[in-house]
Amino acid sequence: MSKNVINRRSLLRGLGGVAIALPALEIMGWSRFAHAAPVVKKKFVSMLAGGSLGDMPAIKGGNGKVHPATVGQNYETTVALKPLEKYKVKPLVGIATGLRIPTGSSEPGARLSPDKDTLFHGHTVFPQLSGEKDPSLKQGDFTPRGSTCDQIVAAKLGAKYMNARVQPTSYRGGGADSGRGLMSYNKGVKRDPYASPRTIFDTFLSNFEGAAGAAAATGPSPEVLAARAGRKSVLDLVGGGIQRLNKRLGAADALTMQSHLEFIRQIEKDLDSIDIAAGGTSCRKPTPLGADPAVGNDGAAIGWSGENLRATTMVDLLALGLACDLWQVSTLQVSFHQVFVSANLACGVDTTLDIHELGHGQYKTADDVPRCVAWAIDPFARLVSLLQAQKDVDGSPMINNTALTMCFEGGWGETEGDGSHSTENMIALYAGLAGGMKPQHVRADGAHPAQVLYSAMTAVGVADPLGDFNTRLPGMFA
Amino acid sequence: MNRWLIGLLAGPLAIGACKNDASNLLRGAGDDSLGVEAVDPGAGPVPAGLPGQALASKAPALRRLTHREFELTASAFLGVPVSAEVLPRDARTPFDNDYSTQAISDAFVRPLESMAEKLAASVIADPAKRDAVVGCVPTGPGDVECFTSFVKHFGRLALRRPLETDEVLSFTALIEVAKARNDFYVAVDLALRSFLQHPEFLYRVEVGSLVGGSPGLVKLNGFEVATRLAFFLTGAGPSDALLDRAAAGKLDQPQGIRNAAAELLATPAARAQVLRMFQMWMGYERLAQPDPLANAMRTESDALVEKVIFDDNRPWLDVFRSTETYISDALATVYELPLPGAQPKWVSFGPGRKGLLSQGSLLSNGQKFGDTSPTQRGKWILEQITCDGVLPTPPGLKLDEPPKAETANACKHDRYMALQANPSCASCHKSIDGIGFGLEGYDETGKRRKIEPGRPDCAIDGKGNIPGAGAFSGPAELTDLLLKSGKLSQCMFKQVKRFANGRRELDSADEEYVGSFSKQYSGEVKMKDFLLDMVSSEAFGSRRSP
Repeated sequence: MSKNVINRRSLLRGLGGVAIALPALEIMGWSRFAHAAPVVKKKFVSMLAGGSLGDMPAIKGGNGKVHPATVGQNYETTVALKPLEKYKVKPLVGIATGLRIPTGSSEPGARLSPDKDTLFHGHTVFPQLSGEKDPSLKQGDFTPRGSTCDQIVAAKLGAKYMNARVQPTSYRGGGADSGRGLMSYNKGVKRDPYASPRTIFDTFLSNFEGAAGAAAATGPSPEVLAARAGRKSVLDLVGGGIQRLNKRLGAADALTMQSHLEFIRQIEKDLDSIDIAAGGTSCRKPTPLGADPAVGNDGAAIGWSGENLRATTMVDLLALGLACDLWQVSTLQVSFHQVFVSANLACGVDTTLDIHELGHGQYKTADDVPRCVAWAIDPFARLVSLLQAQKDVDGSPMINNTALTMCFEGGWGETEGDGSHSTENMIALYAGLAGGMKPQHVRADGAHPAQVLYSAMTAVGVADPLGDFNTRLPGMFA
Repeated sequence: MNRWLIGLLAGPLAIGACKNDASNLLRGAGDDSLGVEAVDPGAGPVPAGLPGQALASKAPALRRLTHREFELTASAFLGVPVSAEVLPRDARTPFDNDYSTQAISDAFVRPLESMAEKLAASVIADPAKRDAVVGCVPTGPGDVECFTSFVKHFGRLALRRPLETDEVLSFTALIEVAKARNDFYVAVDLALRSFLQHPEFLYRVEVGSLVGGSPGLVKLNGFEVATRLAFFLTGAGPSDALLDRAAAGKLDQPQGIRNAAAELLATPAARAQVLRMFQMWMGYERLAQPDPLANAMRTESDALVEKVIFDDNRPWLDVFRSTETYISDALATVYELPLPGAQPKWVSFGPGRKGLLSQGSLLSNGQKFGDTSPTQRGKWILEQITCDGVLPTPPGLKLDEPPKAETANACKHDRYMALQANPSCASCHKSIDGIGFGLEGYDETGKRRKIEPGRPDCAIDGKGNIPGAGAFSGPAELTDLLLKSGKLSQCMFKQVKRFANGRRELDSADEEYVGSFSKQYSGEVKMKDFLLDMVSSEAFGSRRSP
């Protein structure tokens, strides 16, 4: 018989079922992990909101709509920061202000182009997320050469990760999945996000019982084991197909296949170490999820796809995944670089414009833009509150073992921008108590926002550089 | 007897069966009565002077299926509706098959696994569809013969080549699962899921063989040619019949490919594919207008393209020249034409309009700041319709706010004209905006207008110009200038080449390829003739390694 014939492991997997439930349990290593001592894992979450969401020129000068005036722990709850009070998480959230991405210079993490406008959108994002200098002078090419913070952390910790996005499509300009809808790259290769809560649910959670389920005590049912064995058989055949094909390919194409195979192998690994025993008591059976809100106005100038409900659902799923150890690292992109989302439907602002145009001085009141900043912060605050409520495997609040960050596409300033397009006076939020982080208002004039991300990386034990950055932001730690 | 006929006739592509006998190649009837070397009267002989192997396009050996390709291919051989919406969406450049934008990610691989599981379950749950896919009735849970024949046949369709013996064995080992579970279809289910996630299903594989003496040049084998041909002309993988031709060596020579292509072009699937290519190219695949207007606009454009290219087989430029259009009441209202009644009808466009460029679907391109943008419209024409392209936007320009004039509250025309008064902006904007100005008398739905939106004090004169070509007013006159320029067909060659390549970038070999077609046709060209000539050129069956 040929050595390529289905291997014994696959066959055993395929044989899963009532009649072989006990051997299968051993094969799956159930008894091993059912009794394994819980290990607390550090968790890392990076979020991003597109749009020029900083304070606007007309309201700059410390009128307290976005930036708090008081440094330290007792900072003011500005209009933009109201979600922190809504979710009662302000003591867990810090804010770094006065941040700046240098422009047209050789400084670390600079946007290489001196161009303030043409190469603004997206070109401000990856200097933050990857800590690199803007790699391109070409409009619309945002691709970093290296890896974003989430990928660096995931690789270093050997952690499973989730990339997700709230805004499902770009609406105007650039198509459904232009580079503006991305915030994760691994060595220059994009990591597409899950843009549908329903898909996340169906992919990861539809048959999930949670730690409190009946299976927690007895192990998975024979039906579950049979289904899992079937998946393994299928993945074996797929993996075998990849390896077979790879022998016929040149180096570049083989790399594509190798990357594909790695994702297949990750699913296999997850099947081997799956679910119930890994999470703490907060790992619960999810409530069934309905259909996603319809994607609206695709291709239109201003769009709306029920982003508020999408954000809430996505955050709840992310929190559950962290609780159940389905992933340890996560990104969540609230909105595309430029936000062609209806400002009225998202932030309740009296306007017919999108959030992006609002940021171009098209606001009617000084609260309009800060309210849209608050809209972007709301999912961040919600996630913090969920992680505060959830118990880790050692019974401690999950937020104690987590570092979260939230970055924005732009700030405001007249020196290197025109108020609406500037990488001056940027803010970044951080939260969690991992690694001794100290939530407070850190006034960090001139510091690069990538330093906030790097600091959060170190909080979960990853000291590898983030692009050009390898120093913490003073003030973020006790 | 070909037992696969049982099932494949039940599949969705059977809809073409009563339309035209030529749909055999899609239906999988296994008809290979046409000879390899014989000239099919419908295809005609391969003309001399087509691009040779040296002008083969640069391409990797792997290209992932698009959403659309996955859906059409899987639904064809599963016989159930397939939606790939759970997978990351394809970027448009303007086509959806640009492999340079593709990357594999967890967000692709995991949902695909779930999708494959659901698709297989839906097939197994429907005995008629299940039997059609399996192609035989098992005598029991361990019917190896039936399962092997299923694996061989289905595997060939899925991987688009015959399976090697050891591959067959790796799949047929699943029969042991069926025995253990006392259910033959458990093994079918696992096999279906495996094939739907198999790399040679997800990726179009073009390994071929190196051509001696030509470094980097690869000649595709017959199955790879069948795959390239089927995806290009129908958007789906090759049928049984087309694979049979490949197996018989009938796609090894240009005439055989041409004959097969002629048959494919006679199918509804090819019509749908060409219409979709136009939708993406001409920017009306997704329209910002609400339904039913958006549907009416798309239907109008599709109808004209289909009539010119397929129904009447006229020179393709007639899509620009047509004085008739196919409209519903919704569009008649926009165009201020008599209402056609309950059903859309072909009507005379009337003065000032002709062809695609006068239709609301195309005029919807180039919006910005809540209105049409002369710059964006001009840029769109230069990039998509004439393929002249525009220079990259120079650094430091403000793109996110409407242009401003020195006079406060200036009319839109004056604000855009102010750009031309700026020496650093003038050279580009004069060549771009002039085109857009000439279309300003038509809003983003194609409705005529004489004043700027919300500005009764701002009259629109609607006069534009193309530097070096002349002045015009409105889409009909613009069309005349473009037809006179001779650029439309050359641009079409480029756009179709991009679509065929699955890559926006055209290199020097591609440009030479396009140029050779410009020389090939002394007069006007019919789209189907061009497509036939493309696929029967030596270059089509080859690729150059990047």
